[in-house]
Amino acid sequence: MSREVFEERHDPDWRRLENQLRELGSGKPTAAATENFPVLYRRVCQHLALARHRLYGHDLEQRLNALVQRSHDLLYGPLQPRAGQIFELLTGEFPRALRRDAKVFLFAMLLFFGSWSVLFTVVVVDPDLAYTVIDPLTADSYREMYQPAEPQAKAEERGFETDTLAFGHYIHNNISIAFRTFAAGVFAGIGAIFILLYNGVVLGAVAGFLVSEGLGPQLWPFVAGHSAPELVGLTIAGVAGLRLGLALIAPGRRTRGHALAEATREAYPILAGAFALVLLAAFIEAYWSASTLVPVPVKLVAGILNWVLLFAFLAFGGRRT
Amino acid sequence: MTTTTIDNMRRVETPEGVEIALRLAGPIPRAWAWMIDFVVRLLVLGAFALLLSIFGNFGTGIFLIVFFVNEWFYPVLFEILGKGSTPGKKLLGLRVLHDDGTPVGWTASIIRNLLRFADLMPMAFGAGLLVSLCHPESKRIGDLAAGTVVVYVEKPSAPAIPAGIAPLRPPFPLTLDEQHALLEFAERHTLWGPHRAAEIASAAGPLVGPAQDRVATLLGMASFLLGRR
Repeated sequence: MSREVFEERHDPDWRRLENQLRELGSGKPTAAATENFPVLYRRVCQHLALARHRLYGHDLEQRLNALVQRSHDLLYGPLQPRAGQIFELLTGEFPRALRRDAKVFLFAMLLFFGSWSVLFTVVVVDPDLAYTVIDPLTADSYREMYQPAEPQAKAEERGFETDTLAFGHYIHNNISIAFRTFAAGVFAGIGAIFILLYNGVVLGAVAGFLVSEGLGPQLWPFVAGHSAPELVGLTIAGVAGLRLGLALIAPGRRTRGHALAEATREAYPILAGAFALVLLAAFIEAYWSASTLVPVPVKLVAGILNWVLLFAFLAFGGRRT
Repeated sequence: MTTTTIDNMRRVETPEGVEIALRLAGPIPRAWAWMIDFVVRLLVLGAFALLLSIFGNFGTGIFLIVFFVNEWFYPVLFEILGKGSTPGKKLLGLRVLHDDGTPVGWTASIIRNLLRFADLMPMAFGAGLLVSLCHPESKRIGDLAAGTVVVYVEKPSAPAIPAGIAPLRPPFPLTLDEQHALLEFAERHTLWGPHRAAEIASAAGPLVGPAQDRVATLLGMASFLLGRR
């Protein structure tokens, strides 16, 4: 069959598919106009294969290729995620995926909380060692920040506006750190390990410094509420990053590219969970931790409760009964 | 199943059993697209800064959130809502697809754009450039992990062989490969100068023989192969 005959015979089909694509893309397709879309699509697929085999020319091939691709986009395109799916991702898939990688999680916890504990202990025993990690200027600003203030003055100072400023800052700063920890993990895990250790060391030293300055009564009630989701969230972002690194170090019986793509799919719920935790922490830190209206014992109890609840969720969440 | 050919076309087989041809984009157009997006992002930030500056501390807090979203999720939102293209990619005629040719989804888009941080290491997209130069499909680290490719949006082309050329029957039957080569020649002959085209045409040997105008002879045969009589 010559190209001219082929075109003449099938052009109505191509135009019909083109119209349907326009209709379907407009968002308000009518049932009649889009009838038999898959049938028509498959027919044009066949035309493309024929046009290619019979060497009908590049322009025709390209026209049919574009038609097929646009239909393919429409049939196999992404669906809008439903609220239920996101909920299942965060409350089901996330804890399950983390438990599957329990060893990596333990390793990341050891890196972060291990270095935190060591530096905290060392600095409390010998406060001068704090200056090996934090420079004196920063240390001063921390000391200033946690000075016990007149209750009256503080209540006036902080309001919804300041809280929102803090919220924006925590979102921008903390979630970015979590994302970077994840991304840096792809370099054989080294980047994630570095960021976890670095944050453990600095935060441990700062906490030790403040306690040795006698500011513990100001520090603990403030950090209690958000400490669990923030610190564990960062660690979990590290787990997601370490998974990528591990895939490159030990790909198993796959190419490194395949292993990386597969590990990424598995690490995605973990990353989503880390994001949700750090976001939650930013909210608590901005609107609860700094509040002067909540009595200190309540803050401490709520803080401890958060730790218990979080680990209970990680251990038992998403289990089917 | 996918294959990548020598002219940077990626052929993806759809579930319907037909292959879609995708033209892969290299690091240079992608870098341009990134720079355009960078400017757009700066403009967006500037607009929000102006708007939110009148709300004091509250405005600054919101601005920081906008800054965060703009930094990490700008490409994600545009890739999902803009059929795989950020404004920069749209201008360069690029789009992001899954490896299997389907439009990029939320998971893959989030992964590839969060891993942009790794591609930026140690500075100025060093790691990303190195990886994409070494990869046959010009993938950066984010593409490798997310299973995505960046391809050109194909624009329809005019018929390459003018209708006026008189068809000419080849002197002997041609194999499929030979026919393919002949049509490719006809489609591309305007891209070269006339002397270069004549030089390439003479490589056809016995097909053109001692003909005076070898290019015209080959075009006539290509026209014949297309079924014109």
